[in-house]
Amino acid sequence: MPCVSSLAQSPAGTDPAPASRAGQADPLPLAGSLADPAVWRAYRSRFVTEAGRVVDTANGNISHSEGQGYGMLLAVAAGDRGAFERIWGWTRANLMVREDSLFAWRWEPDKRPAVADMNDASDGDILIAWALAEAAETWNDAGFRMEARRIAIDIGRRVVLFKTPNPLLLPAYSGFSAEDRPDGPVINLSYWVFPAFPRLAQIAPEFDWSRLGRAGIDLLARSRFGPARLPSEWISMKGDAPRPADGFPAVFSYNAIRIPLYLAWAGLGTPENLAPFLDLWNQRDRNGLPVVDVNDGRATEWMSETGFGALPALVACAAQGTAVPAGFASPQSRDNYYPATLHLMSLAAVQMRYRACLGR
Amino acid sequence: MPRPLTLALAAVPSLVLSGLALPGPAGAAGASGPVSGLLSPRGGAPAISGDAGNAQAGIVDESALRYYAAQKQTDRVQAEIRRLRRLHPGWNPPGDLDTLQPSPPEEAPLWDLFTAGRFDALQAAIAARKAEDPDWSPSADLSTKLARALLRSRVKAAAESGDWGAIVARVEANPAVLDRGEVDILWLVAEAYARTGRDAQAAAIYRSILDTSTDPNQRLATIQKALGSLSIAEVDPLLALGRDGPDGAGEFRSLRTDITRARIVAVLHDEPSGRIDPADLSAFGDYARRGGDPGQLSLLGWYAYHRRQFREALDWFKLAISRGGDAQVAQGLAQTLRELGQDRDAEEVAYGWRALPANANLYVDIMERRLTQPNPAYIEPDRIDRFARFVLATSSGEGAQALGWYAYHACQFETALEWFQRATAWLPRESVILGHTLSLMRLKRPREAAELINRYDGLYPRVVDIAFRSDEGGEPDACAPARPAEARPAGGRPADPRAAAGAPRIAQVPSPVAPAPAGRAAQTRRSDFPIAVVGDNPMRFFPAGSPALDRVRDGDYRRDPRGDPPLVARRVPGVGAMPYERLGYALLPGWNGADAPGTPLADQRPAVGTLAQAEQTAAATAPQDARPRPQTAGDRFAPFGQANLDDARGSRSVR
Repeated sequence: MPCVSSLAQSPAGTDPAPASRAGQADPLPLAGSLADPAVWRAYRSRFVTEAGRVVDTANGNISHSEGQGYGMLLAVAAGDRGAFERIWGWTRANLMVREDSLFAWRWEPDKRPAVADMNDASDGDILIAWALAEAAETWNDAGFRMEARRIAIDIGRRVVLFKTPNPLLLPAYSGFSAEDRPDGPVINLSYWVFPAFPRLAQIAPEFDWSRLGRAGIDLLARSRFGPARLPSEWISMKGDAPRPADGFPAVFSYNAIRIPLYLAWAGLGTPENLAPFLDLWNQRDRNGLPVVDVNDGRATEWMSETGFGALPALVACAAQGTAVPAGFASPQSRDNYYPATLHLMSLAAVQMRYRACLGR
Repeated sequence: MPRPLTLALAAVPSLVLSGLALPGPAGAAGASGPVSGLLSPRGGAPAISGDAGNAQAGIVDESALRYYAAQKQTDRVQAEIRRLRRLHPGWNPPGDLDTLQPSPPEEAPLWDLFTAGRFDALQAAIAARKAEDPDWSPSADLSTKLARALLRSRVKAAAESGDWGAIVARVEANPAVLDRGEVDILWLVAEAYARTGRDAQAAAIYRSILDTSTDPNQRLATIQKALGSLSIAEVDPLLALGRDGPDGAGEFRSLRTDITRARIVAVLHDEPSGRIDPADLSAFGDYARRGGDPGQLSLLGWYAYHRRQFREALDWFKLAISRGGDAQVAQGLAQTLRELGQDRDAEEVAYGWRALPANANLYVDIMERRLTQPNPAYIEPDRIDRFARFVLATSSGEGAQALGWYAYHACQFETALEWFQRATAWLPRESVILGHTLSLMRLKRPREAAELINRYDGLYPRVVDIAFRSDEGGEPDACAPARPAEARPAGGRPADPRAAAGAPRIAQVPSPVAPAPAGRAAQTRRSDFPIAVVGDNPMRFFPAGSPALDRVRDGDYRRDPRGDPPLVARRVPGVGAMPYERLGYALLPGWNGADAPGTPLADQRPAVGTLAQAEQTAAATAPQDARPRPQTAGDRFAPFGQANLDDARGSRSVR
């Protein structure tokens, strides 16, 4: 009775609802997902200057396009239009120095010139375009919408290999292509900001963003290196199989921990997509997240600031419906910019897609 | 006087369709010309327009037949076969009727629940029975039927809620449950595979239906479903399974329109499209005109546009607009007008449909190109005003810079400065900072110019170059009241070509603010470089009423104390040599240790595999006689700035 036995495993009424695996069918919008004003105010006062610069406090107080993009997203999530306009105002006034609509990725105070590099970072570009598109919707602003489209078009034209059989997102306009590196193209899976793609598809529909997203998921499944089956930060796409790129430590580290965040936030947090991250973070025997050498699967150091802990909570919630721990919704730590930002974004993701994990 | 707009859009084009079809597939090489950066929008038309109702009618309910066969009631089996054949011409009885076994009599109440569709109650009853008697199991027939019925209802529910991943997961967990006879469920499963990116599996399911089904409606509907889910390249092998006619075309002939549409869509996405027969294209054109659906009409517009047959594209887009086409159709119309050199009309269309951001940006780009020509054609003040208002309302950096150069070329430096200040806040590219600095020099405000030059030291060689000019910013002044004796200096050339041709014809350029008093002058001093300036660009212009203008309270934002700004610039990757390097001055190493000038961004080629690179390659290999394109999205990367800068330099070198 093969059919009956298979049915017996999922008797009527206990059929796993899709929502428990990939999130709610009807996610809430980003705007309003950071509803607790105290949480946002604390973040703003610690990392955002009055001029709108988002400060990377653990990194010499520099700024980068990624941080500006995160700041803009969080400002939309908190419904703080004044902060959004300040951050976007600083971003365009200081990073829109290229001849295209992408952003110089790195900026350092007390340097001449303050722009440190004319190259862009495609994750920063995507985050900013996404935030502008969200802001355009939230506050019905034509200028934001136009700018989001200009940026999205240049991402689609200049940093995505749409002409290859499987599209690839280059980490930047310069330096990572097959022409630029012997092991190129080299990619970084944490630059695939999955939750941004549906918005980019609305604002620049002439590009197949969902295909780019699927290629990223597929690539993730093929980039399970070593005993821990984890992706390395930088991956060489030369040849048939992805492998850790040359010249970078082959580690799962500060960059790649964002991959499961973006998966869950996009509603792609299926158990199979999240499996390696779940396994890694379920086995923790101390606080913080391990930096893993993908070759031997061993932890080489620990990311110990408390905000990082929001990521395993988000992943367990998305994949298994596990309730988030106390304190998840009201971060109070003295974390630096990056873990604090990851925490707030995890919170926004749960508010949008996995409210059940908040126990409400 | 401007030409009257010819876009009343009422006139239906007397389009000869063969004109669109020419040069036909044989001349398809002509279609491989440069592709616009703006690909045509996707999804202008529904993928399937046929009537799916027939197909639903094609589902044959064989349950009674199978019941009689299991009960071995031969007469009833034959009668039911006759009845079903009458209802469904082309239907053939399944081949497994002989093998069906009767269910045990004690299952009768369970079958009643099954027939009533009470699957939950049935599952409960089975569970209860098993609890009583662990050795008992329902018959294979009942288990299979129940499993299939459950799959059926779950698949339908999941499809309804769009949870395609759940369908795939359910089927893959137990592929055996999938009943090859339940074609409507197979369609949904195939669609689920396609929507989750597993096209090969989807194609295999469609193929399995075509391999077994003999029902013509079902077969047609299967092709329709495949067209809706898969690319035409994946549907073509299915079309080859058509049974009538030597090439398989006959059986699916009635889907000709859908198939042609799918091929056109593939062409627009630069995907393999198969051959588009001119007769099929012509038939699609007839269909589109007959139906008058703007989506279908504009699809032909985009197709012609893609093949660079802009006259035909214009006709289709106009027709589509006249039939109620939306902003996306207007985008096609505006881009086509622009390709045809009818920028004035393109401007009106883009502005009229500016609610779509693509059109708003196109409007700005058209105006930018027009305004930044060294000798702009006459533009009515109303149109400039309209543009200026739009630029302020949308905080457009491109627009502000265009108005800056327009005013600069018209010798209205106060106005130019106001616009360049906004452009500096919104899009501080090298050409913007250059225009800003030159305007300040013209207004004899060297301290502010020096601040800009020093802020962008290490980043913008052409801006820094201003500090190293041999003159002091006093160009042979084209903008001074004309004095014939000076207008043509000893060298023979006019001092500034714009002076004679451009400036006098430009009316007052609107200023974003009330005019300020001109020239609080100071002397230009070479010693203003290098001086220490803060690296932050402080320019901001928020729209009126923006909460960013609100006063902030202490503690709202992070404090950002600064050290002493340095005097020596450092290398920036992506920036070439600074002008003073030829005098022997050196720069500090870059953040990444770079010690030599980099390759300027403008000289870096996009990566192979990007659309930008494909466009460059296509443009480089295009036939020489191809009509020059007025503008592409790529032109923004070598903007007018280039021309203007050269121009500004040219006027300097006259001295």
